[in-house]
Amino acid sequence: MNKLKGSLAAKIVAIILLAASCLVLCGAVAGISWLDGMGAYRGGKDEVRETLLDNSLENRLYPLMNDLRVLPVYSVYTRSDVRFELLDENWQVLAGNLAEDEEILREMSYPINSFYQGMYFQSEFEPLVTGESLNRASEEEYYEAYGPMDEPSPLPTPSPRPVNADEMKKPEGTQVYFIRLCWTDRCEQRAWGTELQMLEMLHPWRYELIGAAVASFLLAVLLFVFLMAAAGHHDASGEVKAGFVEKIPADLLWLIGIGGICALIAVTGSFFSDNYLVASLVTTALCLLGAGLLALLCLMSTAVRLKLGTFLDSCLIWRFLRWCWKWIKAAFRAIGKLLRGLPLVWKWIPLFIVLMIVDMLLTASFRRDGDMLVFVKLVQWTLLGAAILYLARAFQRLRRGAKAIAQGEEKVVVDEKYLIGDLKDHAEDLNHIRDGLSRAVDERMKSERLRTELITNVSHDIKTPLTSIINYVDLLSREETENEKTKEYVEVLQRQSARLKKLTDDLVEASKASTGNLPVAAEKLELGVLLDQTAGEYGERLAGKNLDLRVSKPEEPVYVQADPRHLWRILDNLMNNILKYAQPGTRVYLNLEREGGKAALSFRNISAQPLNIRPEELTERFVRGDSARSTEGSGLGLAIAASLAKLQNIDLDLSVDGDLFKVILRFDEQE
Amino acid sequence: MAKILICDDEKDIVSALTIYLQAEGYETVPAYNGREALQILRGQEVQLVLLDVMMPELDGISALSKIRQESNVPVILLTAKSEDTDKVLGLNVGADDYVTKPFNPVELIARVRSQLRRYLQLGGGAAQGDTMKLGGIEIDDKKKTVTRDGEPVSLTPREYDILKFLMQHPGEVFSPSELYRRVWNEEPYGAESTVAVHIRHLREKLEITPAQPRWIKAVWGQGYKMEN
Repeated sequence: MNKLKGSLAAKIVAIILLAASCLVLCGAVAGISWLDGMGAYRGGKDEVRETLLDNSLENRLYPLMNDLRVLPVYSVYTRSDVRFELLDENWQVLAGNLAEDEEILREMSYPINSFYQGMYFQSEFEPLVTGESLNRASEEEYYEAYGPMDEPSPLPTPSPRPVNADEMKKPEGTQVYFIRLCWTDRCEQRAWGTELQMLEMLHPWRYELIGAAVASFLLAVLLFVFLMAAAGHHDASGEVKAGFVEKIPADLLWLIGIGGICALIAVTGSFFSDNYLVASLVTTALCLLGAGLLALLCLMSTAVRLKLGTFLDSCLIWRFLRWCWKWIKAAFRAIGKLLRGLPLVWKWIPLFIVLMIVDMLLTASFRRDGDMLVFVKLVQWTLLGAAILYLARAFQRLRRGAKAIAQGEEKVVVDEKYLIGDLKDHAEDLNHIRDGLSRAVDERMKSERLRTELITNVSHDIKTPLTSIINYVDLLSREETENEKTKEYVEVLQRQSARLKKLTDDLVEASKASTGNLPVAAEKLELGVLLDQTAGEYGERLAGKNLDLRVSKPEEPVYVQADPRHLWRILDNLMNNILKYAQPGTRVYLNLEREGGKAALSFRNISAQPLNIRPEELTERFVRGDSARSTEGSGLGLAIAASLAKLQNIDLDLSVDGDLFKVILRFDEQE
Repeated sequence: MAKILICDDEKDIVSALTIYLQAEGYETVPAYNGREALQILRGQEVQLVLLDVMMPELDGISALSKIRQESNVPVILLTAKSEDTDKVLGLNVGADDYVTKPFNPVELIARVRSQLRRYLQLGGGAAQGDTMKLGGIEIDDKKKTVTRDGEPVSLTPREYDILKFLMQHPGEVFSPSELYRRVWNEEPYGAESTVAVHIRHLREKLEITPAQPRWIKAVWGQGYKMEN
């Protein structure tokens, strides 16, 4: 197949065949339409013959009428190859060249319209009667219509059949109403003979003609498709290559092609002449062939370009448009760059000026048309409003993002969608800040976790030797000794090792609580019950230290959501603090109150030592009132309590007022 | 006298424990990792095992699960981790009790004694009609006596009533006012904290370490219950 497509000979043969099949198709279609016009596909041969005779009679009518209009009737007798009679309203013959002995083969009568009746015939028939004057008068008119006569012959001989004056009926001013046309046996066969011959010839082939038309059409389509497929193939490799024609830009080629085709068709039309029928036909055929070949060339070249995908690129218009687009883009980019580089204020000034000029121009041009001005203003303000709304929304979005970042939210992204220019830059900057912040927070979390792990592991490692120390100190204390100093030293060892034990435990717990590395299992609790339990646990110990515990709570139960063990740890630490640092002989108050949706649990006591420290420092790890440094405990109690409270979303408020030490725990109250 | 296997990779701890336990009259066998402990257990009759959790070669938890495949000798875990998950894991694998390092010798000996009593003396003793038993705590309602691991504990009548009520409803949580109503048979009217005081006394008398009770537990903000 590729070989066939690549072969030049095959292409030439195909083109010739295509031309031939087109010719056959045209001929066949013409023949079919002619035959169909004769009714050859509907009736028998005789009917067709009659139709043919009728058609030929009908074809004679208007030329005859024209002749009758401008020529004397007498001269028309001889000019006409058809027999005719003019009739009045009673079908009486007024004039005509039909002899009585003629055998009528086919006749037709037509009514004559008023235009012919009134304007001409009446005056024309006049000279017919007078004979000689007719000739002179008509001669001038003959010249007008036909120019000089070809031969300076005497007046044309009368009708094929001499019509004498007697036979001619005087019109007497009567009007001609009908004209009858006939073919008689004496009429020349030539008049209808060629068509009849054609009919005789074509009629037997009328169905074959349809077949020929279809076949030639299919062949033409097939050849056309082959030619399109073969376009661009120059050898058997199956590769499509651009040829010489493809060097011409596609649109230029089509312009030349269409121009050429139009010119050729115009030439065909102007050259056609019945007088040089053969020459005309040959010229026409050649012109049409040329036009067809031109069209084929354009189509094949287009096919090649489409196959190569270079059609658009080979169009001059396309190239021009692309070039224009490139420059427009570059220009806009340059302007954009220039504008972007400007400071914000300088950007807004030209915008303002442009808006002002547009507004003034619009106002000026619609000054006279009030309605139009209102409409234009409406549109203008709608557009301005939309722009302001856009700016407001963008600003709001930036504002929200910045606020979220300020509040420490890590996952907020300022949506950069639909933002342009400086707004977009601003959003990007905010997102960068957010990224940096969340990275920092992540790193801090990671380091906190590592620290907790380190503290936990170190504590575990410390615990093993500590166990030995505690045990052997204990064993030492059981040894009988008289030495008082030894006893005293061992006592110190016991106390300090116990403290070390507490310290390691608290250290682990504090670091876990502060980094949130503890599971929280919140349950519904009743604070009143908790208060009773606390009082029960600590009442006697406080009394032992000469502290008076005063508990007050509302009548109704107060429910909150908290992890019971963590909450107890907070209370335990606070109560232990009170036990350690409260001034003996004072009162300790434990109050439970409702504060509008919140439940407040307060602990108040009088410190034995002056509290020369800020309250927030008390919850910081290892920080304690200076004077308390030497007493027992790890100093982590309040820190642990604060961390555990934060972990459960309990608000721990610590305040110092002189010697009054006050801690308030605030919970969200539950139903 | 009972023989106790002490297993810890720290030799000083093993010898300290040996001194304490021998002072109490127990026979001891030392082991320095899980594998040794398993070998000794296969060769000798041992009544109790003290097992460290973090040891080289074979750690305490793995050793414990192997021990449990062969015997139901009481095992007390010695753990440096105070996290609840470690305790739960140990108890689930089959430990009878645990002590966190650094431990108090007195507490450890009390726990050893408690486990041994239960294992040696009370193991077969079925509960009588009027006696109630939960863990090491036993109530004889006829004689109105309470024993912990066979040792009599003296309680006030009120404490006795509370203990009895809680032991009759193991695992159930009672708020102080509810307990007051059920035990005192009258409305508390602000006397709820007395319940807490009694509970604390009960814990001090019955628990080895009252600060970390094993049986009489407080559910903070809700009430009290007897662990079952």
